[in-house]
Amino acid sequence: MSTNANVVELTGDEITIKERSPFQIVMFRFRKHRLAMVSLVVMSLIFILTLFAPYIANFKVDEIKVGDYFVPFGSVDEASGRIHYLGTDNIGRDYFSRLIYAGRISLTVAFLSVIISETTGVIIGAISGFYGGTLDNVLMRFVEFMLTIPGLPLLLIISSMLLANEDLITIPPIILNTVGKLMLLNARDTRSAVLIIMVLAGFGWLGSAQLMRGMVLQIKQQTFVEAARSLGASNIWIIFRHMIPNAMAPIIVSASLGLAGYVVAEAALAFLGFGIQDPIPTWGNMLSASQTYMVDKPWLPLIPGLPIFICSLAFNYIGDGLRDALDPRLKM
Amino acid sequence: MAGYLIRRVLQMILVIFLSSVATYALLSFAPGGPLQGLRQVTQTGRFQITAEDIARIRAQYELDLYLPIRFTRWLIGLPRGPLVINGNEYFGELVVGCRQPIEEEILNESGDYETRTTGCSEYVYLKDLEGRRTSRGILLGDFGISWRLLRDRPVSDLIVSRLPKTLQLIGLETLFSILIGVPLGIYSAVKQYSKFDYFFTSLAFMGSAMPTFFFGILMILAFSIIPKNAGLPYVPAGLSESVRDYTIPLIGTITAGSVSDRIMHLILPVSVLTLFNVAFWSRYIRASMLEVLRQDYVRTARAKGLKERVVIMRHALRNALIPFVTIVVFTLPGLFSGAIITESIFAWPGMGRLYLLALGDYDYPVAMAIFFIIAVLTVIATLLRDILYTVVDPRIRLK
Amino acid sequence: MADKIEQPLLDIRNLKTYFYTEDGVVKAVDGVDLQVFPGEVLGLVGESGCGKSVTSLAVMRLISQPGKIVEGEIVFDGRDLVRLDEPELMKIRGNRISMIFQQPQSALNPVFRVADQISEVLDVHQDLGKEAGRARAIELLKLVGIPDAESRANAFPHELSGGQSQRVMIAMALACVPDMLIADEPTTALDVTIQAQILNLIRDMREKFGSSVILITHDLGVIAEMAERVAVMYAGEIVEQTDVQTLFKNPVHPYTQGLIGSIPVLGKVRDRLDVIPGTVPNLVNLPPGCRFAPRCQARKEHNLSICTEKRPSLQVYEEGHKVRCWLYEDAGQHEAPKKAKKTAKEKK
Repeated sequence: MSTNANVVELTGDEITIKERSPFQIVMFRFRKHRLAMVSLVVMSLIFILTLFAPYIANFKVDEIKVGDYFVPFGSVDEASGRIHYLGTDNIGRDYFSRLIYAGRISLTVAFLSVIISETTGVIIGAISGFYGGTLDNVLMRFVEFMLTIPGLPLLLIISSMLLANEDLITIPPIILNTVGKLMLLNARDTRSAVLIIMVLAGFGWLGSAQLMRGMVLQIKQQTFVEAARSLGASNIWIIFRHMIPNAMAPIIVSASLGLAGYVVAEAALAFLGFGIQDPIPTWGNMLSASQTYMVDKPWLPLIPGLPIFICSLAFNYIGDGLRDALDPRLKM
Repeated sequence: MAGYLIRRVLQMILVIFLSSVATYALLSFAPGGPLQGLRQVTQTGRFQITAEDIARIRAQYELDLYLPIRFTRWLIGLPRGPLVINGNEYFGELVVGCRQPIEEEILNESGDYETRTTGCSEYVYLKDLEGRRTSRGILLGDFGISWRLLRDRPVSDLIVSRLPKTLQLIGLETLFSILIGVPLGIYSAVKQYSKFDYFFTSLAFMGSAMPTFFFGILMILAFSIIPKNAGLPYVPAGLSESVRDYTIPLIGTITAGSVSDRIMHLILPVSVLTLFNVAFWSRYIRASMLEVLRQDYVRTARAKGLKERVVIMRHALRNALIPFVTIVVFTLPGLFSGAIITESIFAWPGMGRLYLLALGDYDYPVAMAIFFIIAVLTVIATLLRDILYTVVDPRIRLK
Repeated sequence: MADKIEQPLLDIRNLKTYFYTEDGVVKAVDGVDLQVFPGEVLGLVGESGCGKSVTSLAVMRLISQPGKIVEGEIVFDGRDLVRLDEPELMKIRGNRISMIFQQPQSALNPVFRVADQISEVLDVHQDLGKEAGRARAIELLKLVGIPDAESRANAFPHELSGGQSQRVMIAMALACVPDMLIADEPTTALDVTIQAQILNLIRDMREKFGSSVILITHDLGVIAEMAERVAVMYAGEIVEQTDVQTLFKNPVHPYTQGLIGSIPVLGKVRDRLDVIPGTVPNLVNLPPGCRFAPRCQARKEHNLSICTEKRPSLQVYEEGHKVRCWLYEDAGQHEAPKKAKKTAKEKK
């Protein structure tokens, strides 16, 4: 049914119905999704923590304290008076500091992967759907085929090969430096993170290309495209001015769900040993390492595990909220 | 229908061929391999390994053959030797590889020395292939020999020994998750907006956001480690059977390797996979049921004066199951990939764990074999899905 | 006979059906009063979204979540359907009241054969066995004019054309010889030539079976052709109810006048068709007074302020003619009804 986001107003003799702007309606609907709002707050907190990681973390990521293994929560480092909020790990590194640096890395991987894959997907999908014909046929058959192959084995085999041949792959230093700054890593360590982003985005664009193509085919039928064409608009103009903006709603939703997917996928690769490796902290490899000690310290896996779950859940709720807000027809 | 089938099967063969090319391309660029260790040994010079030894090992792993020849031998087991027509041999002198490459240390642009192959001192001819062990080809299920995990033994031995364990897991998991997930999904859809539906969909939503690897660890903590530490009855986690006898409080001693031991070890991994797929299947069935319940023909069925149970079980469910049946078939190959994480957490000696071990150990023939099997299963499942569509949905005619 | 006509077969009194959506309460049907007499064809006309279909589904008690009948009575043959329990209702649905829908092809279940779908009704209500049910189904298919009924009986719905599907729906609806048939836009989705055939079929079937028919449509042409009496709906309420001649000759509600003014008439040259300004109101935020007030020209001409303040009720305007409008309200001090009547006639 229609929304009551519009307001009936009585002014003297006249009855007018005040229309809200589309943006206001979207905000109105999104705010109604309570869990999405909560998720937004939680994610903002996590962002702030990771954004200010160097100021909040009181230890360096690789600061090893010989002998101070598995100190309890809240222990004070005697030499410097700093507090190990969540204790230390098996070689005496501060858990809390590693956790927030790891968050910075994991979230950067997720965001960069989403940006790259959605942009690629939108452009390829739009071109494929718009021009049709052989190009479309070949592209979409390829996408379909790639999507039918189970994702995890493929991700594993590709990332294992890339990481083993890391030194053979040249990555422009500008990319390494920029990404390194975002993740607070040196150029050498950034390499594996960039490779993981490449692998994730390399498979991630398939779905959004399919989605975008579907949307374009739908929009192509509509009269405003005909109208634009009859007014002499060029193809590129139609794609960028009409197609992409009109298909934005599902793309935004798929991007926010994609964030959840990438956080989990990055963690899964690291967990299985084919992602970013140990001296660099990520939630996945911290969780993997905690397995060894969980018999005696059952709380240990929760520390890196919960952030993964919380981010995944929060991005999913935000995606759900956005779907309700942007495209109520899709609501179940 | 027949024409469609033939076309689809041809398409399928093409896809399998292309994916085998892709697989082999990946394989041939793979680092490591059987020679890597040897080279290091020769450099340190602790053992006397002659160039002849290396050549022999290269021949054993077919690394002395050129890529296209290697590929066809890997794919279909040909050529095995010179072409023989009416007792006459042809092409016997055709060069198919290089037995002794000339390697030189060259100073590259960045100032490091690197080894480059600059020529060949001894070639391999087609007639030399006659005496070699030849794979029957991956298309006939011969995946060659393992490089590391089971040195020099056929990959298929490894797979055959691991496959039953994985089938056990995914068989039980599929059975349970469908038996539980489908009724839950139907009930949830029929009672849309009820407290049950709300609670259940929220739970399934959270379940779908939960990463398998974290959930598996939580399950181990909750049902194995914590109760064991507290002296309560627990479920063993790790491996598919125990090495030595163990005693579970209130239940008794369990003999290692007995049936009950095996069942105990199945409980956790099967539960983890099942719970996940219950979340998936019930969400899926709920959505497709809700879609169907909105349809005009369901309203017609109600307007006929049918009992609600009949409306749902006969009119709605029948239609909701159309996509379901086909999706079940389609997800089967994907179950292998789901098993990778679970097998890794529970140290379950199945195909998934084998895959990880192979990748970790650069045993690419093993990894590629598994990947190839998954890809072929996927292609077959796609075909089966399309055929099943026509069986369950009278509207669809294959053209 | 005269007695019987006095006694309505279906008497809907103050029916309110609301949908409780996240965006608010949608008052799809808000106080509908309607009578259907035995054997008559009642046309229910209005724009899409005015609550016609919801009214008919309420009669079948087929309003599903999040909708609910919140008030009112639906007295059918002496019993209030709103208060009946499910088992009782199941004896009525498809048996004494049956319904056909707008999209015949989607109203048939795609996975069952046509004959099975018809014999299912017979099985439920008349306990007819499989063989007898099938034979009767084929008989019915012949009756509604399906050529080669024996073989078409085995067809799946997607193998039938839209017109044939609607014939099958009619066969299914009439299988148990119901007292009342509700036809919800039965011809809207069909080609024009097929429309006439289906309408003729409904008319023939009514004569054969003697059922009353509620014909829901937005098409005044269909109403003129088929209906004996007409009720006009607007935004969840009946605004005018009368016999078909009066409706076309002397519509009194400004909305009805607007509707009829908007029909092009063959052979008559008009400068322009009348257009009702504005749009149908949002059923969540209904205007506080008369629902038609924001669009009503007559209100402006007569400068009535009560229209935007208080909701009018359905009043008897003359014998067999009811209207919901402040222009004709006895209590309304603002305007004499005569003048309005004149304007209505002048318009003609």
